[in-house]
Amino acid sequence: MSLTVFGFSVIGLRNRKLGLKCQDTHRVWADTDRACVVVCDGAGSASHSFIGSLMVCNLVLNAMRKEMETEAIIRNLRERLSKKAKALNIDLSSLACTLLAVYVNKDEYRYIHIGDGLIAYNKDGKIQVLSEGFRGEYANETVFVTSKNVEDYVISGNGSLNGITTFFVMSDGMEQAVYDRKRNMFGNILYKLVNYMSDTQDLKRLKRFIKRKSNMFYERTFDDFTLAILKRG
Amino acid sequence: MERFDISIDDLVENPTTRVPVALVLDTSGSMEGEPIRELNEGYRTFIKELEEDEMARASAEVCVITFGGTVKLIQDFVGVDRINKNVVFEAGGETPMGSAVLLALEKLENRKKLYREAGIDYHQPWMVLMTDGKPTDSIQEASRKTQELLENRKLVVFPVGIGPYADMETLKKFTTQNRPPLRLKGLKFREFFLWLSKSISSVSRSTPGANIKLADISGWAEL
Repeated sequence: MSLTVFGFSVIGLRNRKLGLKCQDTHRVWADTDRACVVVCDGAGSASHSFIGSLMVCNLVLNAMRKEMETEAIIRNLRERLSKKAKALNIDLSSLACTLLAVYVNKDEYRYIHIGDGLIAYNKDGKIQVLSEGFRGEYANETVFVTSKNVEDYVISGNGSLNGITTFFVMSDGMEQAVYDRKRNMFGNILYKLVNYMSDTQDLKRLKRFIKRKSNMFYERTFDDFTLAILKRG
Repeated sequence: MERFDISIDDLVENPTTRVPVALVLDTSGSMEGEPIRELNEGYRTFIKELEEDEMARASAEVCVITFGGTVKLIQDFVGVDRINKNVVFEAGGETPMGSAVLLALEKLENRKKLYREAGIDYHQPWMVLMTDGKPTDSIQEASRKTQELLENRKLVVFPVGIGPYADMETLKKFTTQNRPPLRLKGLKFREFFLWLSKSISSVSRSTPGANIKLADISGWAEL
């Protein structure tokens, strides 16, 4: 069964107004029977979080392709980020970002989640939550790859696909726009995107189309928003 | 794109993250005259500023409790659009600060419970405590509960003394060492409330993990 990956990141209204860069990053990759999608959301409070999120996305994509163990991935991330912080003469926390990643190899999947945002999957035509990540009591509380004792907050898992057709990996900004937490319901847009991915090979055109529609998302979130989709078939 | 279209209806609508703020205001007899007039003026400015700020208007929820003779719940928690703008504070009576703070803590706890039940995200609650004198009731229980919440990072308190007779030692019992009570410069209530609305606006715009930088206090606080 073939694998298709698709993703987009759009700068939020708040960062656009402040003249800042988009602090979300995503990476997607697929070959014949393996695929990986990674999303990172740079912390608003961290001065170099856009660099952190870019680094973490690239490192995690490569590490998952090499099928490294989760502990080793986190250890490697921390080492590389610490070196980068030293080189830039900044605190490690200046590179703070969250991490959400899903990797599929034939009939198996694994995921890693640090911080907020959401990982969901579609099975039997219904989208369900796989990981809600870590959220504190208050809205501005979360953990980052660079946080102290991050190992205690890593959410990871694996399993057989067993009917799962699609994974959705999203930053908290996108979550705000597509997931109704109270009712545990997802917006129709996710189903529509999957259908369109089935119908076309021109995913670049789809990405351009979504970016043109960014005003619509701005009515739901002021944050940057990112979605990465990994689809089978 | 011929076969593909998306609209706002394809997204979900989550409630805006709330910022609950309790104002606990001294309206005792010593506030009579210019202080109470300035407090009223400052409060009106506060509401107007919140109304004019798109994010703060959607996020802030305000409760107002006064202590002057008796403790009065002037405004239970509501969003900015529903705040009663015709409120006029009147000065009179003693200073039952302890009971007023206890009522505010109870209201804040109830509000958080309601948020949790409704699945609404919220920021750390704020309590503003303003007085020009000394409490005339026991503050022991109120201070103990406040300290417990502060220790567990479940509350942010802004204690403000008004005029030369405000008991700053008492106010210290409602805050932490790194956020000492401040004395209002003259009767700059308006400047204080402008600062408060700006600070609420900053919180309502903050992102997860952000250390919120509050606005400059030099306009209203004696430093």
